Amino acid sequence: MNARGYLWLGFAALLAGGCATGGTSGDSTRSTEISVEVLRGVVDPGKGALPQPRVHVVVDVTSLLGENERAANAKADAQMTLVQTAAPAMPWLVPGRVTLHAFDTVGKADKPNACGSKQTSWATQALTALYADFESRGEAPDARVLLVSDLETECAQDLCRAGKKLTDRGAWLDVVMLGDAAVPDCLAGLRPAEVASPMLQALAPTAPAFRVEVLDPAKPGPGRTLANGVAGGPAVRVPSGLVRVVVDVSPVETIGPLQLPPGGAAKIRVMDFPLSAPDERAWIVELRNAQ
Amino acid sequence: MRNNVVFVFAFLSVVGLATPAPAIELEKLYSERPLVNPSQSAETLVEAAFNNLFGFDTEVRVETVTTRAGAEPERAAFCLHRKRFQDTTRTLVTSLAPERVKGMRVLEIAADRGARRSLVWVPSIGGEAITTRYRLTDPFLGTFSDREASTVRADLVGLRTYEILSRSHTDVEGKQAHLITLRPLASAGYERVELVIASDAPVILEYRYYERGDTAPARVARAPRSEMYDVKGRWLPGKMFYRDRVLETETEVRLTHTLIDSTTTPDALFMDSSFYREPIAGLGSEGNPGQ
Repeated sequence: MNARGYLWLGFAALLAGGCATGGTSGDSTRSTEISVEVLRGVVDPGKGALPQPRVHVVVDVTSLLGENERAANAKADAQMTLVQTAAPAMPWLVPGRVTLHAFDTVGKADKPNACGSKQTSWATQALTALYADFESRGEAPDARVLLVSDLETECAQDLCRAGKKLTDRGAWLDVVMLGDAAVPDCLAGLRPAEVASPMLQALAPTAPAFRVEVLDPAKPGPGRTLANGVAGGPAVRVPSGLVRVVVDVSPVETIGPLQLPPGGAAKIRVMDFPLSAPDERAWIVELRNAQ
Repeated sequence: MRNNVVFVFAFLSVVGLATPAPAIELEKLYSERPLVNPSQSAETLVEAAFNNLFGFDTEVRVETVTTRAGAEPERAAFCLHRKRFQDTTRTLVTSLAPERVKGMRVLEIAADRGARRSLVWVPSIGGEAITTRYRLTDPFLGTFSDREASTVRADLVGLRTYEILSRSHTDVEGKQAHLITLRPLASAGYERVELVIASDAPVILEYRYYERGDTAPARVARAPRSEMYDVKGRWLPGKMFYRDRVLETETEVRLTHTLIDSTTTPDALFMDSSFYREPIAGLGSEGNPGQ
């Protein structure tokens, strides 16, 4: 990537399952597996004419830092935490390009709260405070919130209630989990409310479809479809040879021509920026030969 | 592999212009021409750029000066004629300097379906032209090589001469440009090449050649915007600059383009039985092999 300062936001295709259809079966030594992965992001504010989403990263430092550190400089610690812990999971996330929220330790709980208690946990406080801040400042509804947390001390119901207020308002809420815990269903299921702008809809983590076409010497246009698949889904198998791969992002991206090696595999990674000019997009093909 | 490259004829461009027009900004030339659409596929961008360089009949006079540390500059000159026939493209290279290769002619016939053969005629030997296994390794690289013929199936080569492995973007001379990685399907003097194509015109501004396993380009050729000229609606380089990391050389290439047709350049200049007999206007004695 160049120095234009991209900010990645989504694991779109990683969130998407899906299944391949129409794959061509056959001798695996004479065919090639193709898989497609699409990552989505937004361009750094100020680089395009399109509206730029506001991004709020909320980092839960409660279980990662000691008491003194929390009391000393929560925001600086949170930034460090973001870099050290969240960044490996989000290599495209550039600290400083976003509004980073690190809340002080008031009301923090070191052990799981009883749901419905008055002493809510840190992440719940953070989302509640963020909602209040949005309301007071008249923040546009299409903000994007990334909650980075292990959710260790949270009451899931309270947290989800706070998150839902944000999403009902139109915000997009993503949760980046630290550690091995799973995202609670009630959070994972939150999606932008109907008031969300088309911009956020464009970032919705739907998995683009793709198809593999053979290069037809008889005609210059689209070739015969060899297989259909879904980004993030299982690989499709097609006969080795010269093909194009058409990925159904907007606008459509045509990849290739590619010479598929017999018995090999091709992995295509598309880095898409749905809100920016099409030429911001980038892709790369990783070919693995069997021989 | 390097030992196999016998000539480095950096003719890189194949077009015509008797009197170059002053260089102007590319976007001024192309501002009314929708030749580069941001949503175009990488394949379309590459095709447009190649067509800008090679898509017509031409004579190119080329002068090169190669420098390396501690050695005298080496000067070379040659004349390249390229013409499209029904199902072949024929390229004639006539050496003008240095003295040891002066007057030598190499004719390469590249069939659309992939077959390629070369004939050479050497003045000091005289007689008839003989078949040689040396061949142009790439139309925009401009090198001859005796590498083994391609192992790629001829029907694939006939469809495309390369595959495209990545597309992203970069900044060159302070302007955004496409960065596209190509890998030749037939064996060539390099493993892959990155093309930097201007975003405002179908013009290749930089070629970065990699050999197998390279993480840095073995050779870089630049065609600066300031050295581009308008040739009847095409942008062609009047000067190019090479840097070869392996040979530790730098080469400056001057190119003068002239459009040709059957009235200015007889077809006999491109025929197997006569290419070495036909005089070439404006070349003096070396252009008149029979005298």
